[in-house]
Amino acid sequence: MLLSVVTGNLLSKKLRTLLTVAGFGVCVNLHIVVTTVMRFISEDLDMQMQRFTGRLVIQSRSAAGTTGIEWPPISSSIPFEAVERVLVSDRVQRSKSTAVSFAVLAPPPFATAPPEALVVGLEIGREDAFLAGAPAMLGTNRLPADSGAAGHEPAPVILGVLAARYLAAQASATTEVESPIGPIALAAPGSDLEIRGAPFRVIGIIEPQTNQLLRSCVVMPLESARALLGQTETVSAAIVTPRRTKDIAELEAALEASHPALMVVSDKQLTASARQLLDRTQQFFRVVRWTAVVVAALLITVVMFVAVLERTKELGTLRAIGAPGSAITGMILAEALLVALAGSALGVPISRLVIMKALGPDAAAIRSRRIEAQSVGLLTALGLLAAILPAVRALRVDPIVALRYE
Amino acid sequence: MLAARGLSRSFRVGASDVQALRAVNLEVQAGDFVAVVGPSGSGKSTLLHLLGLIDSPSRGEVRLQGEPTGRLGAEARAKRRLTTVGFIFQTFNLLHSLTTRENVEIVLQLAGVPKGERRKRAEVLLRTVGLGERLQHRPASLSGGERQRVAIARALANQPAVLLADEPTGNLDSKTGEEVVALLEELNAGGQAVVMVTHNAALARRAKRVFAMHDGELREVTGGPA
Repeated sequence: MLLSVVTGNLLSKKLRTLLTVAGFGVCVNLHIVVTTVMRFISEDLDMQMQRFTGRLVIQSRSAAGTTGIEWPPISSSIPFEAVERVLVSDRVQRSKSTAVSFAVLAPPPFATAPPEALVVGLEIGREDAFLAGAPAMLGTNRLPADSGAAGHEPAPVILGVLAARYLAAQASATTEVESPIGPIALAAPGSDLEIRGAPFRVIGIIEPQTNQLLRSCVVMPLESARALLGQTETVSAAIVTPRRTKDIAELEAALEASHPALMVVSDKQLTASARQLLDRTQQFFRVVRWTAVVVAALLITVVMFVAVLERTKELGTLRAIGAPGSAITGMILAEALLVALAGSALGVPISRLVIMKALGPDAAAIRSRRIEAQSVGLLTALGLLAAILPAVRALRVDPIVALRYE
Repeated sequence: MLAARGLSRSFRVGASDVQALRAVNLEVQAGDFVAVVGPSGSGKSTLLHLLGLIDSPSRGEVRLQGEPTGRLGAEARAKRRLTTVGFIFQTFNLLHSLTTRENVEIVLQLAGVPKGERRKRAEVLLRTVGLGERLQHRPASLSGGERQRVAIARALANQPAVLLADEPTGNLDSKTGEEVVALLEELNAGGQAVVMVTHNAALARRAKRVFAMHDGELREVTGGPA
């Protein structure tokens, strides 16, 4: 019966109820999306860094970033000859070390993410220095041994799934693969395509369950990349693996001493630098997230206060006929709860759409029912807390004053 | 059963105190039908609010079924209002989002009566007041007289010791008002104690005992304890 009074009150003010539910839904949506993106960025960074554990990255000192460290070092440029000297060192495990050329083909889908398509030129046979064992979903994850030879055209490319989707429009053939957001078209292994006017042939697609950097890479022979990017005497960076993992600090010190013009970045420094950048981004996201929480709570407080003021007569009547305080506060809290749950029922599907639209094939992998449940739980709990003040106000309605209402 | 002893109530209006009730004494026995008549502002409604534990006296005491009520907290007073007193208001004060039956059932629910029983009791009461065919109607689709009948059924739901009616015919035409008073008479004939305040002297005369209220003072004009 009391629930009938509550629903009756909500239905008697349809437009207001609808707007409140919509407002709460937007806050729930915002909270879920921001939390999901925060988690995605953080986890993805961890996965990227994991693949570079035990390795050193050599880049130029002029690279961007507050610490001078840039990842991936797209704007870095170092003499190829210097890199060659580093790579032949006794302490370097040559098979897992390579010079690298980076260039952006398509911008990132959101801040702090790697580009959607990123050219990664690697030495043939040393792909593992960058791919770190990432398997192929289609085709191969190895560049053919003879593909670096002059006149070998078109040059082979191995694509991350995001890059394969990005390049599908210009590929001579596409293949459809199932993805969490439904079937998506990718540039098919065996298909030809042009990158910056040069012909390439897709030979493989990398398994997407890796990280954002590998999903967006366009791996090609180093020589092809250097030719494409006009790096006649330079490369972007080098990824160096020590012969023995425990020698990494020693190798770092030796390289820094012998090549003072180059910046030697250890896996720990890379992680720390990336974390620093991530922290700043996360700080902004945290502000957005808490704004959503505060707005949702304020919305409930204001709307419930107005509802209590409007229903002075009804609340006073209930008090006069003997309704206990718990029934009065229960009604107000139940109303807030219904609004919060209806708002959540609206906000959760919207957040799924937004995440899917913004993050494409990654969406379902990063979408988490736990985050949804936590966001709904948090905002609903705060919505209820926010309704306590109006509920106390309702409890204080003087039945005598209320009975004088006409 | 319901007794007021030396009941006074003053209100602060601006800088001065207004004395709404002055040392009122009243005793209502089981089966009584008491009418309090007086002009607007004489203190009738204030007396009813004090008798029904909606308000607290500045001085004096209300005893309900022999129990002094002066020291009862807000929740204990609410419980007495729910179980021992039935209120009938001039403006009916029904809950518009509920049906006729639900308006009666709600006080039973608040008193903890199980669902099946409260539904049965609400239907019986509504049939008693002549609204057996209007169970699913909402207050907006009822006439003034019908709304007051629903209010009476609601007031009777928890079998109160006394019915307190505040100008129960004030918002009704004379014919409908007459019907409502007839219903109260009928209930009283069945043993229900009723206290009714009204400014209508003709209706007041239908009660067994009539009191006149003037400037906060109560004086019995007819009848007396049997």
